[in-house]
Amino acid sequence: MSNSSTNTQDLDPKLRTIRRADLIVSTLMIIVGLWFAGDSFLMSWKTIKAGHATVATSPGLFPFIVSTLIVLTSISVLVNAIRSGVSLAFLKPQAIKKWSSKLENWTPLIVMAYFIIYVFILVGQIPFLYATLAFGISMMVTFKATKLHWIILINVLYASFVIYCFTNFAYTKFPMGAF
Amino acid sequence: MTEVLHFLNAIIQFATPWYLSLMAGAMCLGIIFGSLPGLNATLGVALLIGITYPFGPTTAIIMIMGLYIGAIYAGSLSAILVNIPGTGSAAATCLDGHALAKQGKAIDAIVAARLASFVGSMLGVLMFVLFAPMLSTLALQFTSAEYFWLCIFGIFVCGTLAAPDLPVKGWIAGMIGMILSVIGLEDLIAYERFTYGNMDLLTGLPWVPMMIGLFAVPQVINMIRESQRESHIGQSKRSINIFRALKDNAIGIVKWSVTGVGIGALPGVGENIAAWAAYGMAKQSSKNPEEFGKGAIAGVMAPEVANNAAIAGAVLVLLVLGIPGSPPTAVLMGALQIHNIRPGPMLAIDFPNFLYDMGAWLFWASIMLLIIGVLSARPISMILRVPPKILAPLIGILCICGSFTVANDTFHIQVVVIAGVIGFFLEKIGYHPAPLVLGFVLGSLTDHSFRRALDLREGNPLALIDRPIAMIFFLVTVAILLQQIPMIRRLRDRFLRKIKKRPLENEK
Repeated sequence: MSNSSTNTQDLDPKLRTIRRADLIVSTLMIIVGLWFAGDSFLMSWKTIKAGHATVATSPGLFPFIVSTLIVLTSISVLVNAIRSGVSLAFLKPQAIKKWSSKLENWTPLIVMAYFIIYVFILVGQIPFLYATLAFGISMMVTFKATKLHWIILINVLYASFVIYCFTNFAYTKFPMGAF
Repeated sequence: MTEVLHFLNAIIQFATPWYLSLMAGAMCLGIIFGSLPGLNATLGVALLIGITYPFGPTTAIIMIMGLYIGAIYAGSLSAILVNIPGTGSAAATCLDGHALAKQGKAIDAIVAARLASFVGSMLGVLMFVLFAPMLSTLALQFTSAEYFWLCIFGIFVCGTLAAPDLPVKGWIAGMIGMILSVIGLEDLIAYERFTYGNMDLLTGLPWVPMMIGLFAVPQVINMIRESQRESHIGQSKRSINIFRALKDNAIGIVKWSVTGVGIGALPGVGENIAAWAAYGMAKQSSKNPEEFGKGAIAGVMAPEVANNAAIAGAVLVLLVLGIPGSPPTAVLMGALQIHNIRPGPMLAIDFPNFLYDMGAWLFWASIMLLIIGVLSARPISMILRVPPKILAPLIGILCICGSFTVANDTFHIQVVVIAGVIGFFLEKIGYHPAPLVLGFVLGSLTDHSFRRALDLREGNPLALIDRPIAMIFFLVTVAILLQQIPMIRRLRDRFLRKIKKRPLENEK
């Protein structure tokens, strides 16, 4: 399923980055596929009686077929990446240092970190409104969205409005927190 | 003829300021629900059931239909403006709608989506009234084998069309979606699959948070990332003659509408596949298929025509067979039952005029959609003026609140974040979230249909392909998959070249 066997020099930088990522991700996909295939294979393959009906097909058959197909198609992606000539040299410490020196590369990780802190740490520990305010304000401050007083005003008004609407019109009970 | 007269009578009956203003109000609410990422038509319909409960059935269902149609249309607004489909059915609209917005043609894309939705809805209504008996007969012929191949067809077509890098990555995304959908207790014998002792996973991964996570969180990240480099979207101005585009695509619009109604009428399939199928048809029949994905106006119109036409098909199947054609119609079914209206074969006996009343409500909703959609296009495009660095965290908050609302459960918002992080990385390397979501939504139906088809024939695999409609779906799916293999493509091209040369040689 590869498009063509091309030399790494012929690839444009964006495609080269994708092919390099393919090396890792398709390997991970193969592992995940094998994991699910293995687990599916361990499910019952005997004829199962459910009431009066006889259910012959194993509940593991469909996931086994799908995960096997994931393994096979991921192998084709991996082969395509290898044939394009890319290597794992981008995982060398020097390459990682160069990558991490660019602030732009950190942006997605920072946003993800804010989401993770908001959902996995703050929600449940402090009232939902405060957790939401902390998320919105800190994210806008980090990325210098506007002046601080505007950031606070926007977040207080918006978070209060959204939570009020959901609580009163959709009967949502937001967590109050442990403290 | 009698059907048309009943329908016209119902149209006149419901042309009162009270009903029309109620529908307009509900539609505005639907447009807000559909356009805001994190909220969708299903959630809107579900919330409105509670609000409309004290009213009579007519008032309640008029409002629900107004909200449903408004939300399905408005999914395209956020798809065009911020590349987040407000509803799953607008995922196909993202491809060309957002590309147009980036070129500074957001208003054109919105107006095209608006008019396409109107045309789709109207043609859907027409077919609802005229072809109701034929469609219900066809849908009745579908067995598990047909459902299985239809789901596989939809997932792989979506994967092929949506994959920006290699089609095989789209297929992998679809298959991952299918694997994720089988997590939890399966519905035939309640066998526990891939839960690893986690109680939250027993009921499976919730699909609304999955959709929000896969579509919205990566977009929030991208909005902030891109705002640091360049302007998010160009200045919006009108530059495309939409009416000419409508005229040029007139035959296509009819085809997309028929596809929309037909696919909408297939139980459990709904607007999402209709939109993707119409997008695929538009791309294949286009003189310039290379423009698709880069801002083709037909790429906006096709999914919008089909997903709005699909509403008529989905509602038709719900009323005639009692089987919901899409997630919002599943909620609508609950709304009807609350008001003592039982959808199914007995509906025509219990409420002889209900089908025509529904046709009239769909008709008025389509008219309303044209008026409200045109009026709201420019104000809603003002969302462009909000800096992405401000808008992105606000969308993030709404996604978390919206996901929490579905079940008042923190597990749901945890799913949003995990799905969002995975979705972001997968998208970066060419695994589009659309086939993943479609695989996830249709995965359990695919599994269920696959196993039921086999069980009914004691495990004989021929059960999957020995019926004509199943065989057609199977062959079409295989043809689509084979077409993506370079060796097969080369053989096909060589064969076509030979065929072309042969007449010339004969002439010599």
